[in-house]
Amino acid sequence: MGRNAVVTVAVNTFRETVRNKILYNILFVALGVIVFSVSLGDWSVFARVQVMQDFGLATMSLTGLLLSVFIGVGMLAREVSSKTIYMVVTKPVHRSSFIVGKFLGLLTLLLLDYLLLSVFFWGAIWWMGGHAHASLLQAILLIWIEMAVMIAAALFFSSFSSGPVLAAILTAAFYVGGHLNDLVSIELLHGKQKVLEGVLRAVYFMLPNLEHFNVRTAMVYGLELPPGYVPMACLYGVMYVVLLLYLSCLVFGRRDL
Amino acid sequence: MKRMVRILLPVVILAALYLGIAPVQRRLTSMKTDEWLQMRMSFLPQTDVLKPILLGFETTYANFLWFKTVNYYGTHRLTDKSYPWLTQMVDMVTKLNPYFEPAYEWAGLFIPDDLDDPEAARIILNRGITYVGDRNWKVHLYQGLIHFKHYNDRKTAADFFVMGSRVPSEHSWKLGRMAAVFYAQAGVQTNAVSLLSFLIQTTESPAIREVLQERLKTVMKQRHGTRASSGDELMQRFSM
Repeated sequence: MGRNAVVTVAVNTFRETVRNKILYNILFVALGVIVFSVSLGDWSVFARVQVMQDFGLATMSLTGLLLSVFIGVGMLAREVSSKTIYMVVTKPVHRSSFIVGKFLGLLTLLLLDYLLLSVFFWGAIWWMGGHAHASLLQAILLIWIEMAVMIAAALFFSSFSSGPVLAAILTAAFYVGGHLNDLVSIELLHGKQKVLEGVLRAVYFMLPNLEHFNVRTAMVYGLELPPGYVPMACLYGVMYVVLLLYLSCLVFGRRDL
Repeated sequence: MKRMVRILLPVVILAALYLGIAPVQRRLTSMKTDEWLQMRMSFLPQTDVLKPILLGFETTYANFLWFKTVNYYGTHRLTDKSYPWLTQMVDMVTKLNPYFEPAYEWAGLFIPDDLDDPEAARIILNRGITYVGDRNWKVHLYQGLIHFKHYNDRKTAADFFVMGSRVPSEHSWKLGRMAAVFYAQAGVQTNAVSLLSFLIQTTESPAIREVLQERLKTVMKQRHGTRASSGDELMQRFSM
């Protein structure tokens, strides 16, 4: 995998995505919601800043999800359907470089997106006379890591799907399953129903537990996380990203274009 | 002329549409009777079912539900003063986001008296003590007041005030003093003396120390029939 090729694809993906209207629509709505959440804080009568902070972080999470599903899924599918991918694969660029470059391009864009939203978010907290403690950054970091997993998942599903619709449905199902995975109580079934226990155990280990990245409530209400939790969650996310990208490279490398 | 029509016609159509929409919207709002609200609320799923569906956004949904709760309370407070769904709403908010402290204050303030349902408030406040009891003294205060006002149990009320006094705040000593009074009234003088002595030893304010020492003298008088001449004498008499 050539490093230069990865960087070139990433830069091109970034430039291409920046021109995408969907990005601006989602970003505009997110900024609107963050500004609007100042009023939502007032509606709550009490705990105004905390309510506003929760809405701000939830908006960032949903924005990332929408971007990773709409843009992440479309990135690969569009290249294949418009046949522009032939321009790349006929050059000395490995298919895995293409996948990794696409991932890095969108991830960088999402980082900039979050930086912009964070500025507005902090501004809104300041406007409400609240104290924006640095621990909120941990929540934003973990949202970004979760979205990195989602982008990798979107690329993986696009790598074998014939169209963007199927890939989008699978990515959305991956998100839902990833959050429901936290509720799989395998231990309750221990020794009672062998088959169901086996199925649940398989599902539990096949899907990531996306709830591990959800520390919004803890950060907003100033609760302490266990020592080393954030680095461990980051490592967990990076491992899933590597796994999904590796699978995408394997599948896309063998795909008959 | 044609140009004028082309400009004015959309404006007229839009105005007519809006004039049609506004009264319909008002009519729909007025059609939402209490029965309608009751029906809608009865379809709210149980929190246990709702929580997984929210995919990690339960705190955000709890905030939305809180807006509804405030609005619901305010509307009915100004009209019929009847709140059949308030308990369920506050209960759901605290189940979805157990760290939302204002909901516990509502549970303590309104549910026992306005709804005459101290038992529901007691259950919700127990949740509050579990989740925010180490940083919010008010949940202990409200729980204590419920036991005092509705269950006539001064001893348990005092126990909750003691717990509240342990939460660091500028009001800790007041809660401690209240607990001492309640213990004394409940006939548990030993606890009252212990608590007052502890507060005297730990307070940094001379004014508060003076008030507490006065209170301690009164409790000791109730206990032994004699009134000590000074706080120091009391401390010597009853080494804690």
